[in-house]
Amino acid sequence: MVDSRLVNVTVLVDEKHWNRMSQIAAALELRGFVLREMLDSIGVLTGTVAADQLPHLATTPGVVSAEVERSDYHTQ
Amino acid sequence: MSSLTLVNIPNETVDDRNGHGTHCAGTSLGFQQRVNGTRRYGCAYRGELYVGKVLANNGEGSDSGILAGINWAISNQCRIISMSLGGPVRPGDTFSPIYETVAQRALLSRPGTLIIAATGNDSRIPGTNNRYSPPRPVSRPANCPSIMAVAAVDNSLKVASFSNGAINPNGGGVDVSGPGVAVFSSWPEPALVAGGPSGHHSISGTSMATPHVAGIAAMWLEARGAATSSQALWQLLTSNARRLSAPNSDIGAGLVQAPL
Repeated sequence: MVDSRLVNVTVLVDEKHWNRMSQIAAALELRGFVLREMLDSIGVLTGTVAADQLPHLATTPGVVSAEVERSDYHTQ
Repeated sequence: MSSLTLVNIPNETVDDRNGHGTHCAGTSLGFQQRVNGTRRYGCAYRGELYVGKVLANNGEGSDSGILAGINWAISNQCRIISMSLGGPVRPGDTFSPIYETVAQRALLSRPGTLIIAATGNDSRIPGTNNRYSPPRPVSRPANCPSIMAVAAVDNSLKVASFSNGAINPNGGGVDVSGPGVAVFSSWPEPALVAGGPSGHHSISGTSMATPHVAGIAAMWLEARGAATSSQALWQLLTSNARRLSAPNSDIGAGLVQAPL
């Protein structure tokens, strides 16, 4: 079954590739990723992707990991 | 002071319509002088404050806002990031690789950034002032090994009943603690009667303990000089903490201490 629900994701870029974050974002976009924000001081990209495409993000060259965003943070 | 909203909600400005962030900012870097006749609050009054709003006015938020806040702070060369927030963690859960990598890079960079976060408030048995035994695990992202996890103690130096503890291995421990019960700070409280005196809230939480540690970290930086690395700063905070009778799994190295 194809799970095409859009999920918010955070993508960690390998430190060696920080100078080419835009190219990595473009490569991710070819795999269905829609960029929301490029956080270039910490090497993270945030955006959305169809849930069934998430595993393909993590195998993109220059990407360390891709996680589904958690949205259950609260003041403590 | 600089401020920015990183909350991705239309029409939500940087103004604090909650009060929690204002309260925490006051604890870390509140004025040296008393304001409007109130008693003092605030640790490192000479520090420079950057307020990134990463939770919405309802006090809730997500990874993208929090990570954007960390990114903003680091790009502004902030040396200390104080996060009075957390997400629930179950026994057996591990930390997020993204937060851990970001925190590790921040800690190891020069001069570096120390990230400090609340252990979370899930450990009080509802309807009582008693603590679960064992307590609930340290929340995300404080459960990362490279993020300093801060528990709360009360004014008798006992662990606060709500304060989460070391349940999970691999970073799920408590590193240090700070005052977190009935903490007076900068969140204004409206007058009880029209025209009467207004005051400030006193609130409790590991959120209140966290900016004490952040403010005192800034005092250590001031005392030892800006060249002090973030790893050295971590060491200064934990090695100078006052040992208390509560176990390490509840309060880490002990109660954070300012430089003499």
